[in-house]
Amino acid sequence: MNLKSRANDYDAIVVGTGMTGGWAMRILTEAGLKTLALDRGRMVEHGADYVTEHRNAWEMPWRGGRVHSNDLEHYPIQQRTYAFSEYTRHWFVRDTDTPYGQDLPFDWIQPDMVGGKSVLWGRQSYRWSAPDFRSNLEDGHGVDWPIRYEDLEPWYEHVERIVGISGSAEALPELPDSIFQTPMAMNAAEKLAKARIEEQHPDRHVIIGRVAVLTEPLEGRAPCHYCGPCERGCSTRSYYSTLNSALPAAQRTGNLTLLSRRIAHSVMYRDGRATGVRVINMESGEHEEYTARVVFLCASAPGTLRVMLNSKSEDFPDGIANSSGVLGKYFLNHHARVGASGRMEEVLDRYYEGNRPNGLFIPRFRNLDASSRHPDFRRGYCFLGSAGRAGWGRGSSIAGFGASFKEELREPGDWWISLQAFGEVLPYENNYVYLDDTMTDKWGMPSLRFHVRRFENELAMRKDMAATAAEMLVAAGAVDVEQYDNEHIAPGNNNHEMGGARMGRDPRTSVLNEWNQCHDVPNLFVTDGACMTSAACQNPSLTYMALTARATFNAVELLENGAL
Amino acid sequence: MGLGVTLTPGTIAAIVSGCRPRDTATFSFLTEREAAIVDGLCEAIIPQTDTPGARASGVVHYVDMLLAEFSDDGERSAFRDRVAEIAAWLDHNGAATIDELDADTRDALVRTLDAYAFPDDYRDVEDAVVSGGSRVQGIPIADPPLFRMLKPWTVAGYYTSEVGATQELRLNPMTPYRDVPLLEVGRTWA
Repeated sequence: MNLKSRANDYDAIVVGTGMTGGWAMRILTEAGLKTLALDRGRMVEHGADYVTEHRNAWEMPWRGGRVHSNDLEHYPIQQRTYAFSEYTRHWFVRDTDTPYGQDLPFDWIQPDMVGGKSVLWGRQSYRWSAPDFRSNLEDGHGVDWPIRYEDLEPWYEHVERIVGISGSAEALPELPDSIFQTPMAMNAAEKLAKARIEEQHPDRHVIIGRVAVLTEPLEGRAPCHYCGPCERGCSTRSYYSTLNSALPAAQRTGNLTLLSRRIAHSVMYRDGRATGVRVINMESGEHEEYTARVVFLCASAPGTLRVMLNSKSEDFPDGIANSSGVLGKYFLNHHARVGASGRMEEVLDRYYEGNRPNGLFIPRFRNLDASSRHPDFRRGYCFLGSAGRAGWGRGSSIAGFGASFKEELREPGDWWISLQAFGEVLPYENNYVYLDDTMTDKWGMPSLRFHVRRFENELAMRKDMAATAAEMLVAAGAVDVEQYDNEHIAPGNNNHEMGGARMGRDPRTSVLNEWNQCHDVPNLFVTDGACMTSAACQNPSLTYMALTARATFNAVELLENGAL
Repeated sequence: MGLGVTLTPGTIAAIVSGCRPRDTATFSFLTEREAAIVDGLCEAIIPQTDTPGARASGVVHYVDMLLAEFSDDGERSAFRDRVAEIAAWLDHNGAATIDELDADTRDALVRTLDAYAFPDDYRDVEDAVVSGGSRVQGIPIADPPLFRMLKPWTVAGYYTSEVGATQELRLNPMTPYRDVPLLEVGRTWA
């Protein structure tokens, strides 16, 4: 019998089909490799399964917004994310089926479909700058990245040409431009705020968001039609997701096998090599084994770490590729839910048209150089924000009734404007994840446990985040400006969790080398957020995709050269 | 002066034209009488003008659904108590529903309930609530204020209805986002 013809044997296996799994599967299949992609989520039929796309509020049983007691019962964690509503509930795991442990509060937001969080993501896309790759080296937190911006720059370009990012070229050293499609428009209040903030703070820039939503056609995908809520799914493929782009491309090659409802249980290992992946079939409950020459872990940072930690052998009693002992450690995220909001009583003769899936961005301005050095904290933060006019909702909490009340709500109210900061969390050995001995999910897969908190640097940074947000809104001309710090909202709630299998030069202190290749297991690759050595403050998915493209092309080359 | 229970021509016309809670509709939480009272209050908050109001868009059913599916027992019983107090006050004044009150009395009722719920927005809270509606006319006020629940529910129920979103307001169209003069749009987006 020819072993290669066994149905379970492939050239490559990709675990996870989200932001990075989509890229890995596309590159591998386009390179001619028979590739198996696995996902614990359910299969999604593009278009037909976007069951709430374009639905009006009155067409929804509960008018779309609310969290039902059922949701609280089955989705106690998932219902905490901004993206969870009656319109999107079907995209999330049931927490009751997939419990996890929290030594300290951590909101682990988990998708339940092929495409993963690439279906749900906020689409904000920003390159790292050169200094971001040197942060650890310069302040001694964490280990040095084994790559520099120059190594990733061509790969940012490569993915941007396919993802399609709309944005404005600004030539800011702290935020390199991407290859851009036409930027989206600002409204009148945003334009006014930008002019005033930049005039009073010449070191700060207010730009339109750089967003993975098309404003021009690309690869058969249509430009955005501004219906608003991308996270319901997009039949026109206008925003980037695995479903909209990577999966159909991979399927076109004829080299892809996609199996859904498969939980990756462990990486199979023998004699220094990964031999494949063992999975739990969620429908039958049975374990299945698939073999391959190369394995890519793209299951999200926590998802990948869970599989690796569960992959135990004599060589690796503490999880595969963990000779360093750092697997699961130096877990990172961005801290957020802090900023300011206010009201603008000007440009009341202006409004807007269209539902823009994007907002404003203010790049990092702290700790870029000697002159921007802040005495109380290291690294920095950026802002996402926007302005809009108060709508009918303001009627809920004001006096008034009758014809005059109705007439008042027929006109939009004042402008509101808000800024939310996203800050870099330092690499700490004491932020980590590990397997919980006492808990499994409904299918017997050991649960993950999170041990993550904010430390002094984050807390000091938050004070500045709120203060500068308020300062800028006042500069913008807003009134009733209030700062906020929702520190009670747990880490993880704003997503961007990463780290735990960091890249580094030294196998004694890192899991992956400069090619996202496990130091200890050369045919095992990790390219999702778990690979991150530091967090920077930019929304990370663009960087994950660029790293994945670079690593996958390299892996293909190694395979073709017989090096793997 | 006095407590009007006049069937005004407008009220008669409204009843005859069928603008009242559908007798055949089932409510999950509200009793028929409660629904009639709530419907009257919702319509007083957002009435028929040049576009249909809360009654025509079935807001009472939305309120009923919220009470049945989303409220907790504390909220349900508070709401029920507030409506019962109004029902008793209506009975005392010989009216079955809000609509059977004369316009001035109905206005005093709604104003009192609104001022009690949103006192900061009324310059003459004392007058409206204490010396006016409550003391003189015995309009029932108690905590939690009814309009703290019913105002947001009415507003949401109306403006997320097809009538409210497409006739009173406008749906923001699916066109490329741009900064435009308010006059070009003319009203709030739904």
